[in-house]
Amino acid sequence: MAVGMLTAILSGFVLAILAPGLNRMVRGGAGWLLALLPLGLAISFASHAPLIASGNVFSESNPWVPALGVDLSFRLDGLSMLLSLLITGVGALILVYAGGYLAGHPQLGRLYAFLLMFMGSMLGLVLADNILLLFVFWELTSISSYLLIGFDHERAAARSAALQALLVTAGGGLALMAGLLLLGQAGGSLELSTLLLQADYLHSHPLYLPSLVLILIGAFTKSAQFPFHFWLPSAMEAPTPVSAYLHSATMVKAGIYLLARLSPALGGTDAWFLSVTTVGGVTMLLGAWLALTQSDLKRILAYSTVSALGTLTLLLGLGGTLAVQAAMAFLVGHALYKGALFLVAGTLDHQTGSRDVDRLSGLFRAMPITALAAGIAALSMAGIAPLFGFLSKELSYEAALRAPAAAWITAAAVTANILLAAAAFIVGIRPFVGKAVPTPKPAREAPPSLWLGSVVLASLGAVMGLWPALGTDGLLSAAGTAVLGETVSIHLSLWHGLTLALALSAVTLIGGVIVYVSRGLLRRLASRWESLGQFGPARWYELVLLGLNGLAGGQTRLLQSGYLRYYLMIVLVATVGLAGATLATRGHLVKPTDWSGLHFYDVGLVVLILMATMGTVLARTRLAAIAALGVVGYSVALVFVLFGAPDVAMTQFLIETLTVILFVLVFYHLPETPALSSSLARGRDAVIAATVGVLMTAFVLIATVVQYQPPISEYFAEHGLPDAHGRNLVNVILVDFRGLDTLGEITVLAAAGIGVYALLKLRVGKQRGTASAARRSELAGGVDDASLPIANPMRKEGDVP
Amino acid sequence: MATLLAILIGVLYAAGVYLMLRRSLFKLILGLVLLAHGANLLIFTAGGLTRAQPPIIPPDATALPVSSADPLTQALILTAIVIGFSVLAFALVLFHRVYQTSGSDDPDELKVGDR
Amino acid sequence: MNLYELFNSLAADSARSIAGFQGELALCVTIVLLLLLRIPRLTSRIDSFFVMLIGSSVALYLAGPWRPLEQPSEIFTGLLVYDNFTVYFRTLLMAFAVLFAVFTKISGVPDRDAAPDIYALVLGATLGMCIMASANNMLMIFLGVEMASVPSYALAGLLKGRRQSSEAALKYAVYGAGAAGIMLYGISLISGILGTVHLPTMAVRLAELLQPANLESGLGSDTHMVLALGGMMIMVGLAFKLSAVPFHFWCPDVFEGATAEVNAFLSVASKAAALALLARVAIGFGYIPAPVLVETAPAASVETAALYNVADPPGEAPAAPAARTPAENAEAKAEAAVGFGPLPNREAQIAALAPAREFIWKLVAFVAVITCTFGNLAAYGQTNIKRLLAYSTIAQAGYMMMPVASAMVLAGTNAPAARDAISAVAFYAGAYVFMNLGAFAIVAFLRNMLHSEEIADYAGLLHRAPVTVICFCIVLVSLIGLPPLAGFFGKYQIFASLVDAKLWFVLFIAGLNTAISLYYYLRVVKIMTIDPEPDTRRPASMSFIPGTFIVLITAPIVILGVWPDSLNALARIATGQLF
Repeated sequence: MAVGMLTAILSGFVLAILAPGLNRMVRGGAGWLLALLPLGLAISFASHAPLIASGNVFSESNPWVPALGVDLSFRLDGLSMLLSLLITGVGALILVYAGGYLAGHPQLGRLYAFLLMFMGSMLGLVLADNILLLFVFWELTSISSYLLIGFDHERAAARSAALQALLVTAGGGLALMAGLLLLGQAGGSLELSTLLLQADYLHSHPLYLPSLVLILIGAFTKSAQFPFHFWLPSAMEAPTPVSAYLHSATMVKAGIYLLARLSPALGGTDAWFLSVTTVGGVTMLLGAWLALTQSDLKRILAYSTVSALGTLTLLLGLGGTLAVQAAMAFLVGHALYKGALFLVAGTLDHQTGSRDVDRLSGLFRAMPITALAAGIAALSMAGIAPLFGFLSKELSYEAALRAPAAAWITAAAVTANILLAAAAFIVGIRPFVGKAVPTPKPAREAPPSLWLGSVVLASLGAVMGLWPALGTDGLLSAAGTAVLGETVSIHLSLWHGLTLALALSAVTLIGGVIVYVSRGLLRRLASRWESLGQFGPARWYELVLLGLNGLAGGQTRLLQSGYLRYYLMIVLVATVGLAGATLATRGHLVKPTDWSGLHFYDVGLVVLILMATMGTVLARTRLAAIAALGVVGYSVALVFVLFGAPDVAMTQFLIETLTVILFVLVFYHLPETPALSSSLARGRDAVIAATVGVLMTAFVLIATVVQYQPPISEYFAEHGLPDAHGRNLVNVILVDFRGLDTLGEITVLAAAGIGVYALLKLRVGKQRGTASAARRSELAGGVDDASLPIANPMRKEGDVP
Repeated sequence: MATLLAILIGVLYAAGVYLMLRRSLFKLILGLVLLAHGANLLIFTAGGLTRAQPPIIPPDATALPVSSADPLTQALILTAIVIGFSVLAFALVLFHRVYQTSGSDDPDELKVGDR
Repeated sequence: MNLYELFNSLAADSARSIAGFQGELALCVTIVLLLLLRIPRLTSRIDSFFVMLIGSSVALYLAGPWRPLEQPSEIFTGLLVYDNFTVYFRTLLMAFAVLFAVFTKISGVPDRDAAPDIYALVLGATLGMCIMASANNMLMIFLGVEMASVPSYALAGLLKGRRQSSEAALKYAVYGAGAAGIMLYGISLISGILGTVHLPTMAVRLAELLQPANLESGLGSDTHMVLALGGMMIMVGLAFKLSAVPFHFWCPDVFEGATAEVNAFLSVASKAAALALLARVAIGFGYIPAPVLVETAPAASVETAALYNVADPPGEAPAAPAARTPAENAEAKAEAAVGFGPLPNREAQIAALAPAREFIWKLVAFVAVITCTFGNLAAYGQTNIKRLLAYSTIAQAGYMMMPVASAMVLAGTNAPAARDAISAVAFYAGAYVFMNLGAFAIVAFLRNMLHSEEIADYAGLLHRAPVTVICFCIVLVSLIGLPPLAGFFGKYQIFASLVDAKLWFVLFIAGLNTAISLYYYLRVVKIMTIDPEPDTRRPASMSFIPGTFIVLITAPIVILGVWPDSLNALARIATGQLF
């Protein structure tokens, strides 16, 4: 390509950064100016279309993270070309439209920026050849979609819809990433171009099914397939240009693109056929039905988009030349007429102040250009010859007729198309015919920026239908080739002869008119079933969030109670359980046999410690407890003396003395506090404590009988005197061999010293009242200023201008 | 003797744990000290008990007698005692501070946790 | 060996060791200087911030080398290992100390009076963390953990946003003391059985103990059990530092009680060091690295090596049984009874360690999965931003532990993949510095601005402080792991390592957790960006200097997202010598 693909993608992001500034400089006309970039890109892509149509594939690669095998590699084939043209072409129209639609909006610059950022991400998504890169752009489109849906912050509905859309699509994206990782692992490469060539190997790989399921979840969430379809209608809270661009023409097609892109590698198995076809079929029918039950223009369009996406999924699930042809044609046709209709809906809203079909009527006289565009687009959507919609519908009928289980699939397709045809009449024809009724704002024809988009898109649909040879065939063939993995050539023509498909088209048209006429009846019927909606997937989403919230709250309250002793209890019970289980299953019960070498003073010492310990536990006054604790410490030091550790004993004596002094200093003047626990709690704690004690005893007994390696002391014993000239080996170790260790100890002591010093230095606040009083004041004031050093800097900060 | 010490260690642990589970910061710290004693004895016992043979090379020899105590264990315990003391000192002063600001020994009066 | 030789070799060792220890020494000097500032007349004249800044910057500079080491080496008679992994984490920790100094200066906490103490504590803890990252000896592991912990207790209790911080700090200290005691016991058990505290030697001994012949004959099954219990006990100490479940209890309470500044330190530096240590311990027991070169005079090499390594150097003992001392030979008979026969070569030793690796990966994966799930679920309903970030920290620790499990699965069969897994940890730890420092810096500055740390009070902040909010959103989205930010590449590598190791269950849990985490992170984003601003908000705005700091901290998150190779290459160099 003359312009590198990376450059094309980056240009979107760069312009996004510049857009707000540009908007401020060029008041009003910024949309036209900004549209030049996507237009230029579209022309650049289109100029390569003939080469692509003749079977060429462009690719480029730049190193990115070589260590991970991730390169910035891009690939432009028929499928990418088709979508790139859509993205840039529709993007240019949308930028112009947004300028008119939100003229004078204070945040218009930001909207431009988000739209351009989205465009760049979407281009990256369809051009990426590396699956990791694809995922990066995939999530970027989710994020820009979030920003665009949440653009209108004023309404609470917009805010929660934005979060919902992001949660569903980004969550699906995570599944996609896991799936792509598995696929990469199975295929041994992260490059799509490599993966697509090893279909047979992948199909038999044990990771095939998990990766398929995960990738499908990703694709289905993005493309609003049942049961994830609910986010798309909610996302209609976004400004209309956004809905037209993201939620109809491009972003929701990302899932379809992924299915199409990966179908050479993943498609063709029963698992693929069953899951993709079923989900697509259900979505197609459900969307079409729900579209009819709405009265808001944008919601009708949203549900009909859901239905169309279902159709595309269904076709890709069917596979085979005919279905893929139909899918590619339908992809283009849908983008053209649905984009146009969305823009018309926005124009109506903008010019009349209402989007309610029941309150719009007879607008043809006031808005003839818009009406014309709407009419053509609606007819294309209804599948009326000679428009492009007719062509794609014919093709899909033919594909359905040749599919396995043809009767079911054809019936479903016809039903959906009948409903959609009626919906098309409701959106594109109904508001313009009949008697003019007063609207919230007096209706006037829209400025060019508002009708240009719909007119261009609608007429493209007409021209391409009438004159399919307009480069469309070649491009669609190339796209089909990319999807099928084998060369196909598609020839669209209006007249196929008197086929069954033609008959079905006629049935669809007649059915559509009948449904349109009896739409009031249908809606009444639907309202009776509305209560079913609360069992639908949107409710599941709420329930999942609620359930998670409950689960999270429950576990956190249970585990993170704030009581240290419960924390300890949990840890202890867990430890006792784990260690006890290990001991019970793997260890032998060690009989206490080693009573040898007992001296009477040993026994006396141990009994002394035992008694002192009990004294510590049971002491009624603090001083008594401290005294008993001191006895324990000194007696333990005696144990060290008895068993050949005079140095340790010395240290222990010293430390014990200090400990007792510290205890007395801190606690002496404090009043006694009553025992607070109930006897039940004491009993429970005693049981836990006793279990820990028994376990530790058993553990020591086992540890002492285990056979040891020659102790390290051997080394020191041999080297201590000759090497370090010391006869006391403990000292030798500490001073000579373990100098660093000693440095560490000093650091620890110093740190504790600083801590003690600094704590003592802290002023004690005035608030000496009860804790509950303090707590109240704290809750009232947020941060307690009285005694806290933090308060000062905060005040300082406030004063500084 | 190892058996006797094993029982002693068990009791020290049990007493320490029991005290730590009480609703009093004072007893919590007491329990901590008892646990520390238990742990030191534990390491000491696991290192092998040798009566009255400090790891000191006698004046007339150049290597340790075969039956002397394991000097590394002792060094380990020394480190543990010193560090344990520094933590204890800090904890005591911290307690002092808590008591001064809240006037209570009851940890429940000032708990932070998920409500 | 005569006295002269010994003196020479010790002098050479010290000189070499000091060269690899300059950064830490600079920290020590800075701590002393900070303590000197306590002299009353100096306190008022010299701002301790500058001492801290200069000291930590010098330490950072000296922590280099700023090019990869060709050979790992052991310093201080084998207590520490000086390799690229050490250098990487040490640089990270000291860079964090510098950033932390600047951050606290800007946020104004601690005030000038308390600053010397706080800075001394922070540097003391950093010193301990550096030792954790480079520990090559069980004693150093214990000591490093304690050196890092004790100052942290003091930090948690000192700077307070709320009164409860003292209580939280007390919990922290009690918990820490308990965990340290358990860890010490685990260390003494394992080193008692293996007869050494020098990590590489322990691995060799362990391999001899676990060799297939022993396992088949069921020799020493009690020993295995004690080893397993000892391993679990060491894990307790590590889990405490990582705030892994069920040793995480201190974390949310301490985080809510302490100031955001201290939280930043606890959540970033502490975690990075603990991860490095976890990796060191896991690799230490599960793998035999290529023998470490000891650069000394060739004549004395065998004996000095023995001296430095406390016991025989790896590969040396089995290869040259003749070098054993008579006493050891005497014990060899006793060894034979339990089957401590030497193994022929390094490959056989690595193969023999398979049971140890299996134990480690199962333990680490179990803790990681529980930690990650608990953290994410608990973060779900939080209303206080510090508490939310505390749980997020716990969850992130869970993610970061996962590659260690992968590495243990892979180490025996596919060393390069295992290295990749560990470099995923290193990368994530690097990215995490910016993510969490950024998060807590923003929380601190917003606290100064809004006088609140409740998420609800951030509503509509986009209009008031757009740059701050955008940066916060970048941080949060990066914490989720969404592209194109640094967190994405971190998480991608973690997931990829799980795929390599075929740890499907862990991968599944990690993915599910990421999906859960979407909600609570994005909820904050939503509140800040698109919820309406309350009418009651007092006029306030982010001043220039904090804003600049935030932007500078957040920029690397974006840069690492677009150009991950910058840090990734370093992470790879850092882990290159481990396997």
